[in-house]
Amino acid sequence: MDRKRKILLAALALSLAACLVLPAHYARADGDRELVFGMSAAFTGANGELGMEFYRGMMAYIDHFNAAGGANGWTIRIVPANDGYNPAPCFQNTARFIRRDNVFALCSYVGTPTTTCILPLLQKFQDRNIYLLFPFTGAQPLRTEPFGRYVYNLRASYFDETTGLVDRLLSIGLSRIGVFYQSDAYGRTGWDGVKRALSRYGLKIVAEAAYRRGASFDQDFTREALHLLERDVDAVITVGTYASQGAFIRDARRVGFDGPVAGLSFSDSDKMLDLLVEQGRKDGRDYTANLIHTQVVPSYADLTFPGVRLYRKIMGDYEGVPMTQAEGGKPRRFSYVSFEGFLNGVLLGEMVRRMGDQPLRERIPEIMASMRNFDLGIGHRVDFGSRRHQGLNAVYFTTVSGGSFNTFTDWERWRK
Amino acid sequence: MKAPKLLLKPLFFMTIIFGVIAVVTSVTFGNRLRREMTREYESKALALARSVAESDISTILSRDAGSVQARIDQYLGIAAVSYVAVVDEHGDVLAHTFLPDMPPRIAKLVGDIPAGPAREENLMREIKLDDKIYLHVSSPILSGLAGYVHIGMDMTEITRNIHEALVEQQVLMLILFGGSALLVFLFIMNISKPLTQLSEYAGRVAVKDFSNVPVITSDDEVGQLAKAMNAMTGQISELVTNLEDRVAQKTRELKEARDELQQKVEERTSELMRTNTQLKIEIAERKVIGDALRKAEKKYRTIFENAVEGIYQTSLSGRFQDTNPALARILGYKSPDEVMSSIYDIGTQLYVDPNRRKEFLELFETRDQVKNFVSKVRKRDGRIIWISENVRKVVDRSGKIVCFEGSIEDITMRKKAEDQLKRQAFHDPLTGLPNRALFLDHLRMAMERARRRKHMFAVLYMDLDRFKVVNDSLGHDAGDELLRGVARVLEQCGRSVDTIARFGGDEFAILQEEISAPKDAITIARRIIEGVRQPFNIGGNEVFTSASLGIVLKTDGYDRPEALLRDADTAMYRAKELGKSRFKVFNKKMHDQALELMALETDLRRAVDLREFEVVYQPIVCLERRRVCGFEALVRWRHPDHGIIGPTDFITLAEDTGLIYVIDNMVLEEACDQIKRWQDYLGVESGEDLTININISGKHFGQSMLVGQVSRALEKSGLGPESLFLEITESALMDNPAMAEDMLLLLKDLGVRICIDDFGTGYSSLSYLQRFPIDVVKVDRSFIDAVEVSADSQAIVRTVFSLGESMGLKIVAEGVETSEQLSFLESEGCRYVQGFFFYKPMSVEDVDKLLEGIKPKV
Repeated sequence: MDRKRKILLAALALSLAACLVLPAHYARADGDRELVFGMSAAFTGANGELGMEFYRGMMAYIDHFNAAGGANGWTIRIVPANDGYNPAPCFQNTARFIRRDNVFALCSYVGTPTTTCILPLLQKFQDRNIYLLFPFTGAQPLRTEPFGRYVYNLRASYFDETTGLVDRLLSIGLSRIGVFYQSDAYGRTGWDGVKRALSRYGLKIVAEAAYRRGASFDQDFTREALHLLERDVDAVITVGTYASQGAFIRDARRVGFDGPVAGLSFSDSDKMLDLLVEQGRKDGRDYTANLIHTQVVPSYADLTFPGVRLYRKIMGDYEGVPMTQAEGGKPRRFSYVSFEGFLNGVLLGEMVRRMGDQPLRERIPEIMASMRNFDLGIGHRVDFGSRRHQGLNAVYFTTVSGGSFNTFTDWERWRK
Repeated sequence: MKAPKLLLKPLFFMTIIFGVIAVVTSVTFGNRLRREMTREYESKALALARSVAESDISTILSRDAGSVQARIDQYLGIAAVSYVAVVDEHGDVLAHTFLPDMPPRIAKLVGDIPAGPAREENLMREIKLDDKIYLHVSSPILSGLAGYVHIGMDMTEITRNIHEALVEQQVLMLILFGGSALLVFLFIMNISKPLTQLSEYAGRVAVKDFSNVPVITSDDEVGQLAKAMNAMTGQISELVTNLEDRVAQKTRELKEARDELQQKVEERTSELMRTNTQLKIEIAERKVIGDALRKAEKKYRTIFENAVEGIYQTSLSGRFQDTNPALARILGYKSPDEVMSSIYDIGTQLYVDPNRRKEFLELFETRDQVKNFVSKVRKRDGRIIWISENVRKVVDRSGKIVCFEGSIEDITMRKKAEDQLKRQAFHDPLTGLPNRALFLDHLRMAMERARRRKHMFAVLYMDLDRFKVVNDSLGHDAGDELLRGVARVLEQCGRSVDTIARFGGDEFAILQEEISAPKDAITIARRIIEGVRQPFNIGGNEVFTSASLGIVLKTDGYDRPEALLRDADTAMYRAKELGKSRFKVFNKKMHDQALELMALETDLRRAVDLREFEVVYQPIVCLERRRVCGFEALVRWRHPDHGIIGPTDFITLAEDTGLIYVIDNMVLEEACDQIKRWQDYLGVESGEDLTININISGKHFGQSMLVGQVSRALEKSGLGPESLFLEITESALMDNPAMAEDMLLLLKDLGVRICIDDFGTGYSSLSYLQRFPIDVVKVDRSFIDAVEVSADSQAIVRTVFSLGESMGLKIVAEGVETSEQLSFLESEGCRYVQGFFFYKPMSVEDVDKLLEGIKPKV
């Protein structure tokens, strides 16, 4: 089953690679009013489904945008490239985007270790005005000097997420915080976020356990769970992917830890829930209790937001992208990840629109700076500025209710 | 191959030496490697630590844990780097690479920030962690003001490397050792093998086995030893062998002699006993057998003595061993004893043919008996007789001939009778010449010879010219006498090698063999013609005759002798045609003509079958009334290729082939039918008013069937016989006048009329007109043609008319073509005319039209 999925994912990656190689020159020719954006993400491997989901969400809007004739006659083409959540392929993809494909900009990269490793390239090609737009990561290096100036972030940072989590957990008396994190830049950033948030209260991380990137849901994390449990943690903040986090939760629950386990937006909460539900069904127990997940976009179930309604409308009709899940027929119809992808698309469209009839790379900072108080219809306004490269800061807390992650406000249930 | 013992000591010493070398090198090499690698690791770890401490100073200062982590993650890819940790100046961990958590030992180590002033130096120590030794390097960042970088190098890597290197080295050493041991082994083998061989050989010598002297060719001391040993053992072996041989031989001889003697004594004793017994039995038996034998012998002796055939027994060398009286009688001797004493070599004394005895013996090489072995033998008085022998050979057990037993019969009389018969079968009894069969046989042989080698021969065919006349006039005896005479002439003219044959009648053939040129044959032909032309005295009369010859000179190219004879015959006939008493050589033209004639004959036969003949009618005009009073029926052959052929061109052939009977009969029937029709058409009062003349061939005239055919034709057509005139040539009548007379009388009995055709061309003998019952004479056209210019012709024609008138014959003139001829004829009282002047021969249709004009209107 899992193997079958891998094969399919690999096939998909190949087809994507083929899409990438065949049109060898994405010229922004005068006669061809099309802007090409390069997107390197994990489409296979332990984080593959996240990448796909994200891409799907974005493409839903981009197709919609293009179908409506684009903006000022300019349409958007996304060139996806698979990096499998590994820095080296991501670096190669990016170099190719810049040097060979001559893309208009890079957008919607997925993952901290992958994205952080290409940052020096942006500096290297600064004379060609290569910018990275709206990566799917909340890591700090994208938001600070020296490379932050080449990156425009839509989503809140991991620091925002961890700070929010630590504040909330402490507020209900859960002060012994343990961290389960990925041993790389992503995990370290999350770990650092937790550590910093705790240090504001003069606290420290009481226990930590790192794991190697690339872990699948099948991997056994009993040792790590026990390691944290030994320190008598009240709650665990995980900085990982949906697969590793799901596996950790499963093993932590198995060794008897039933305190809250919190995760960050990067680990696709919807996907992880699927895995846990599936596992729960096999084991005959419920792994979905006491899970907290921070999100950087509002719940896609909250129809009060016009942005959510637009998303559901377009996404609901969307069939176009060949992102088929290996099992269970259709992919999830809606998800936090695809919603974020969707918002990325909206912002990308808005940027092109604001370019008017003069879409030039060197104008990206100018255009992005003009996006002040831009309303995506999600409650919080996007606010970029000449020195501000961070569009949103909002963090939403969700927990499992009714089979899916939904926003909540009541933390008292976990008070100690 | 067994390892020689010589090998043991060198191998032992080698093992010790190599062992020592291996241990010493391992220790020194290992130590050295360890030192070097440790130094290398230290410098590597230091370099890495410095690299983190100095190059990432900005991210560390900004406390960007993610970036620091991204940076130190990369160091894990470097060989032997086990962990990296970065702590700040307070000992707080900024980032590390431990999984899942930093071990307490390390945590303590990195948290332990030395107090006091800033430090520049790097700290290096070995720590033991989970049974592994790590080289832990701590390097200060900004002299410790910004924290420290800790790098752990896995020392087990060094140990493992040393281990691998040592193993590699020891394996190499082992291979070297193995190689050396092999070399030593081969070297020792080289020495020990000949030594072993020599020692084994020495051992064998001790038990007196001197064979298989080892061959050792080496030039060294071993070689010398081998040589010396060879020489020594050679001498010993010679000595010992000699001695032993002699002893053994003597012993053997003694033993054999004794055994032999013993055996002989035993055999002889038993043999004597057996013989004794047998002798007694034999004596008794012999007595009985002797009596019986004497009786039998007497019986057979009687048969032998009284047999009519000569019975004998001869030796292989050819001497009679026993004979009976009959044999002596046959050979002309008085008694068997005389035969046996006189003849000591049958081959030379008895057989006439000196090879006969040899043939006789040869026959017995393949068979046991010979029957009817016929030979000529000499009697005692020298006369030669034929005998036939039936002999069988008597052989001993080994198959060797002991003698021959056989019988002899005098077959001289039988032989003579056979020769006579043979001669009669192949010879003409009248002349004694070979007959046709023998001639053909000789001819066939001559043809064969000619085919095999260059051999020229000729064939002459001869026919007497007027033999029939002689035969008829002088009688058969005279004819036979003449033939005998001619045969003698031919024998005189021919050479001994030639075959002269009589084929019957007056036909002879000569086969001339071994002629050198065609002219030889011509010469003989001339001599024959000349010889035959001489008068023969027969019964007191001088008889003259002559011969016509046909010669075939070109005798190659014939397959069958019959064909050759046929051509000779053809040539002979041509000679006759050309006038008799001459010869003609067959040539190509004759051959072609013969072929042509044959083709025509074939056509003619076909024409008869297909009825390609048609009859035309030439009117005969009665001058008094100037009207047609009859017709002559003329036959025409409508040949599909050659068109109309007149009778002159085919009647001869038809006569020769006998087809004439059919043709004549056909014309006869058709013409009778036709004239009867016309008579009916005209409604004539008398059959004589419209008559029909039909030609009968001379040959046909000689056939008795003619009468039957004529009467049948009349009967079938219903024509009155008075209307039918049969035209017969003079020659047909005169060839056989007696027969002609009979025939004419028979025809006259039918009531038909006889007409002589072509009168004046034949014998011109008017006497026969009186002798034969003739009604009409047709004057030959040659006279009519000439009446205008030749007075002789006029006289002849005039005579014929007056003669006819006086004899009451009807005279018809043929071939009238001009009015002058006609007026001459009229003036001479001619009443009937036939010719182109009036009418040409006409077809039935034309005659129909003609008659239409003269039919009396009723």
